[in-house]
Amino acid sequence: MSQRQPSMSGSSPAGMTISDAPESPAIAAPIIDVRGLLKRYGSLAAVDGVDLQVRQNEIFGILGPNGAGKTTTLEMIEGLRQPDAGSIVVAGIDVVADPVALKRVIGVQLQTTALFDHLSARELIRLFAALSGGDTSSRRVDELIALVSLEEKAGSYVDQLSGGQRQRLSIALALVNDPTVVFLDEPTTGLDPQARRNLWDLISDLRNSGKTVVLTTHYMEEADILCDRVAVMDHGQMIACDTPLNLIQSLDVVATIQARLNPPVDPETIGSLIGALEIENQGDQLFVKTRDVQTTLGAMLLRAEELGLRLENLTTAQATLEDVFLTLTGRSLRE
Amino acid sequence: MSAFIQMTVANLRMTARNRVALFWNLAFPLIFIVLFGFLFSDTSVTINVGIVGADQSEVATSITNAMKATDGFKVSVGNEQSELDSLRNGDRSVVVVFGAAGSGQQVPTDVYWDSSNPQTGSVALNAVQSFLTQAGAGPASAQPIAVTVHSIVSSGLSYVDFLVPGILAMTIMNSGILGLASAFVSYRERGVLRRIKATPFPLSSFIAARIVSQLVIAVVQAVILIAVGILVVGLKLNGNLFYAFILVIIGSLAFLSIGFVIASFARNQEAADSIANAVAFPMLFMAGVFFPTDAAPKVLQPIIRLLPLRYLADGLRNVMVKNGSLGAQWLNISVLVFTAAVGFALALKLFRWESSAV
Repeated sequence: MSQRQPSMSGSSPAGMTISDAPESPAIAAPIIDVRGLLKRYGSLAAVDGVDLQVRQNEIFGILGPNGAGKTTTLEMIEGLRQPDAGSIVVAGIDVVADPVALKRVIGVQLQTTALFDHLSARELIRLFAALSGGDTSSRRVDELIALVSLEEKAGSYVDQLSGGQRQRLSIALALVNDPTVVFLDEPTTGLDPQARRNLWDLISDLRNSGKTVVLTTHYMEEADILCDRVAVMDHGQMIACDTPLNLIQSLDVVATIQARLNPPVDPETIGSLIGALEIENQGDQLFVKTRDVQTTLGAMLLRAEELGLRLENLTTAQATLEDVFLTLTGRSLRE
Repeated sequence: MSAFIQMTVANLRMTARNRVALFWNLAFPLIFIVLFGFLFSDTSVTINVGIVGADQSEVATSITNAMKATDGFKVSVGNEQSELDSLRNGDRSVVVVFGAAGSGQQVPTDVYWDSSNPQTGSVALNAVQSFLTQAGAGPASAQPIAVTVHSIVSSGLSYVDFLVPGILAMTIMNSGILGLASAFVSYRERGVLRRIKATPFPLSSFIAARIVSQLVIAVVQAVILIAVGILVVGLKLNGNLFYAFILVIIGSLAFLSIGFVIASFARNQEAADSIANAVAFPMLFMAGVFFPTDAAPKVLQPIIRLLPLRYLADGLRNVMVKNGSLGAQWLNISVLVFTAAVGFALALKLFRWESSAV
């Protein structure tokens, strides 16, 4: 899917990928600038003083467990909810003061994908293009249908579409006005792995065609693979914000090396290994935690040679955003 | 403007493709018209005859008794005033008034029939006339009675004429209250309204597009119901169809506004359906859709006077089958306009984008 030609206007830095995304925060003015965002429901602060800056042409992920305040944050930035305090500027528009102007330049996919019954995918795209002040020509509608690969389902009603097709349709609806910024609220929730990967390709293509994408997710692998930068939210607060790589690098432990020892021996027998932060075993399984896989693994292989041990089922597992979340909050993302 | 038209067309498309809506909007009222139209059709063999002066002469008495003994005549004997009143309000098809006559003279006989109801009226007249002629053709060479025929325009309508405007009013109420409340609450519950809110399309335009499409639907419903009424059950239009469509639109606005109010405070679709039914159902039976409100008990009359449906049914009947002018419907129209104004004002005040606060 990655070879699909971007058909959106304003094609620009096509080569911008995760690896060469700008690392320095001091580049152009952010396209989204949120300061001190606050939203209370009764005594509960659903969003509690959030600051965030999204750069032009990046995929920005808001990661957090259910109820962390991701959707509320997103909907305030989209102009769908009034914040109790704070300022939101999107593409130079003051969102609180002029939500209508905002809605002309953004595209929105809501968490619930409910749409009108008894209208076909094609009719829905044309209708929402009209409602959003976009291009309603058949050529443009066909283009959007092709972009989200719904050619075969263009004449089907929403209730005849699968979950993944519905999500792709609602992404097409978010693009009808050729927006500068696209907001996707949990776009892959409830999808099977294949449909999820298809959607990741589609979202990457959006970024590659010059748009800025802001999405929420509670899947850490999604944030890891898809997002250029990730904000981690918990209890209405932003607890970290950086590239997935930097977030993981900030951890003490970056990787875990695991192997089955044959014959099994105690960790004391193995002794210390260069770069190893922690060595422990569970039954015949050995776990070695390290910041430097290459060095520690080399030392481990040498030590095994010396002791006449076989390391079976040798694997290394990189730390993930899950570990970042666990470290930051003391809880698992899935709790 | 293009967005508004697209939204309106989309609403119409969705309604036309929704089988449930089609049933309630069209099939349901049509079933009522056809079923009730045939059940209570006037083509029954019984002819209501009123006889006055049956005891005025021997001839009159014998004719009266002979008619009473004949199947097909339902004979009532009364005084001239009350029998002619009954004819005028549609309870009699024919009234025969025997005059006084000296012996040997012909009995002057006046036959009144209801010409506003030509089919039934003329059948009844022919039957009575031929009966009178036969009965008169006694052994005496001279005719014992002299018949004079008078036609009278009754205000009494055939049941079909009464029923079809009533069913039309009911249909407009149903798609206004039940259809709109249910659809709107479901849009809100499922997040469709929020998706609309995420576009630059204003709420007022969204609601206006909905209203315009509902009005188009109401006019189409009226055309179909009236056509079926005429072609299938013999509705006799006697009035101005243009006035009828004006009332259809005003009535539609009134019931749409009630639907919007219900949609505004109902928490979910089940609640909306229940409230809508609780509002619409009593109106259906108390507001004179199927039977005249005069027949209802006196204690109910003050309540009946509060039901907007009564005013729509009444107005439609007046302009469709009683040749009423639009100006004469000022009370009916005022009540409906008032309902619409209060309803929309209230609905705008109560409007919510989302089901719950969070």
